[in-house]
Amino acid sequence: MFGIGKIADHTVLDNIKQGDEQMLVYLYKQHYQMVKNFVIKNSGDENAADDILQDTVIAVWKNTNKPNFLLQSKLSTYIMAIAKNLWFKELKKRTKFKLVDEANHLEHHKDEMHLDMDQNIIVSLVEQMDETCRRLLFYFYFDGLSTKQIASKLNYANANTVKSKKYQCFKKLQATVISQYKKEDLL
Amino acid sequence: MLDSFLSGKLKGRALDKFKIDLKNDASMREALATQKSLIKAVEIARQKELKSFITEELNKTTANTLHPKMRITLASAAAIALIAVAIFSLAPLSQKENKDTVQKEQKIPLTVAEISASDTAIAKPEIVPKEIKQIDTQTLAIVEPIPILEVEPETESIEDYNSNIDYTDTVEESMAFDFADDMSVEEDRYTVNEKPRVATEATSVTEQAEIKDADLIVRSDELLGKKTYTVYAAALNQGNRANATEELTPQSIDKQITQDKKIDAKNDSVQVRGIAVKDLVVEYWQSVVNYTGYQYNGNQLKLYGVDQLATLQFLELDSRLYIKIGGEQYFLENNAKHNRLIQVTNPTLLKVLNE
Repeated sequence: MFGIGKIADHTVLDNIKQGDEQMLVYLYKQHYQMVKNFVIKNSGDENAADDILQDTVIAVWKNTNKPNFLLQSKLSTYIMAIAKNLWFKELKKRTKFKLVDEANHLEHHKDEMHLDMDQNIIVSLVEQMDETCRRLLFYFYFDGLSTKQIASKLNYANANTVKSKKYQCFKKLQATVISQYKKEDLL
Repeated sequence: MLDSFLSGKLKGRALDKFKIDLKNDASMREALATQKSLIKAVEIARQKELKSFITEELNKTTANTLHPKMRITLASAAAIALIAVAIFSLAPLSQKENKDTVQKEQKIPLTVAEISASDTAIAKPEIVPKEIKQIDTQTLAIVEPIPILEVEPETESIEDYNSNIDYTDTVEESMAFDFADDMSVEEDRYTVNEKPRVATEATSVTEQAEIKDADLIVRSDELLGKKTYTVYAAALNQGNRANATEELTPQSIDKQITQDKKIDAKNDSVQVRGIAVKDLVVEYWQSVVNYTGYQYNGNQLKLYGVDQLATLQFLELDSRLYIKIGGEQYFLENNAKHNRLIQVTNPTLLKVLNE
C-alpha cells in the first residue's frame, strides 16, 4: 500500500489520529533499516531491532493520540529517538540482570514472575472479551480516541452511547478479573 | 472519577479532594489499583494486537514482494511473450503478402525450356500464350481479338528508305504529325515528301516492333484516297463582306441578301459568285471505329466516313468553310480537332449557300 513514495509527516500523523493502522506498517518499513543499523551497531541483532521498532511505532501511535502531542522535529528523528531510548532501556535491563547475584536474582525473578503471571491472566481475560467491548476499551484506553471517533468507528449512535457502553464493558471486565482472582486464590 | 484521575483530567480542587479521599479510603485505593491494572492489561492486549497486525502485514508484503532476480526473470518472460504475440499476430499478414507476390509471379507460367535452362529455384515468367488485343489509338478502346497482322521488321537502311520517298506529292508538312498515328498503314499508301517523316516512320517501325513484342496489334485509321478541291467564296459582294465585322446572324444575312439584290437590280450586273479562294486537299479516311466526321486545320481536310464518290463543294463565307455533300450543307470548324459534321439548318444561311 505504501511501497511507493513517501508520505508527508503531517499526513502520517493525521492518519494515525484517524486510527489508520496501516500507518504502523508504513512507519515500520520506512525506518526499519535505520533502526536495524543502530541496534546492530549497539550490541543488538536483527530480532532485537524488529522488536524495538515495533515498540517504537506503537509508542508513536499512542503518543500521537495524546491531547497535548506536538511534533517538534522530523518524524524520523522522533522515531529514532524513541527507538534509541527503548534500546538503551533494554540494554540496561540486560546489564542489570548480569550484575545482580544469583540469590537476589532468583528472589527478584520470583516476584517478577508472579507479577507477570497476574498481568498475563488479566491480559488473557481482556483478549477473551467480546469483540465490541475489546475494541471499545482499546480505542478508549490505548489509542486515546475521543468518544465521538469511537462512535463513528464502531457505528454507535453518539458519544453518550459510547460512554455508557464503555462503562458496561469495563465493569464486566472488572467482574471477570475479580472472580478469576478469587478462583486463583482458591487454587 | 477514577478514570479522570488516571487519565490526568482531574485538576485543581477536585484533584486535591480526590487525593484526600484516596488517602483515607482503603477500598478506594483498592478500586484504583484494580482499575490501573485493568487499564494496563488493556494496553498490553492492544499492543500485542498491534504487533501481530504489523507482523501479519509485513509477512503479506514480503510474500507479495518479489525477489529482484525473480522480478527480472518475470519481466524478461513477459517481454518474450509480448514479442511472440507480436510475431504471431503479424505473421499471417506477411504470409498473405508473400502469397500475393507468389500468385502474381505464378500468373506468368514458365516454359519447359526456360525451367530446364535454369538450375535455380527462382521461377522465371513464362511467355503468355498469344492473346491478341486490338487497341484503337484514337479511342483507346479494346475490341475483340483479330488475326495478327505480322509486321516484318524494317531491314532497309534510312538511306534506302529515303530513296523510295516520293517528294513530288502535294501532301503538306503538317501531315508529318499524322504519320505517328498511322503505324500499321502500308507504306505504299503514303505519299511522303519530307525527310523528318523518315524519322517518324522509323519511330513508327520501332513502336511496331515493341508492340509486336507485346503481342498487341494496333490498328489505326486508314487513308482511302486524296483529292484536291477548290474553295469558292460564297459572298455576293466581296467588298462589303470584307468590311463586315459584325457577327453573322440570320437577320444580318437577310439584310445583306436584300441589300445585295438591290445592288444587283441597280447595277444590272451579276456579282462575281464562285471566286476561287484556295485549293483544299481533302483526304478520305476510314476510321477503325466507323467514325464519321472531319478534321480541318485550314489547309487540309480529313473526312472520315464520307464516300469518295460523293460530290463535294466547298464554299467560304465570312472566313468560314462550308461543305456540300450530297445536297446537304455542313459547317467546318477550323480547329484541327476531330469534329462531327454539323448540318446547316438555318434557312437563311442555306439560302445563301445554295444560291
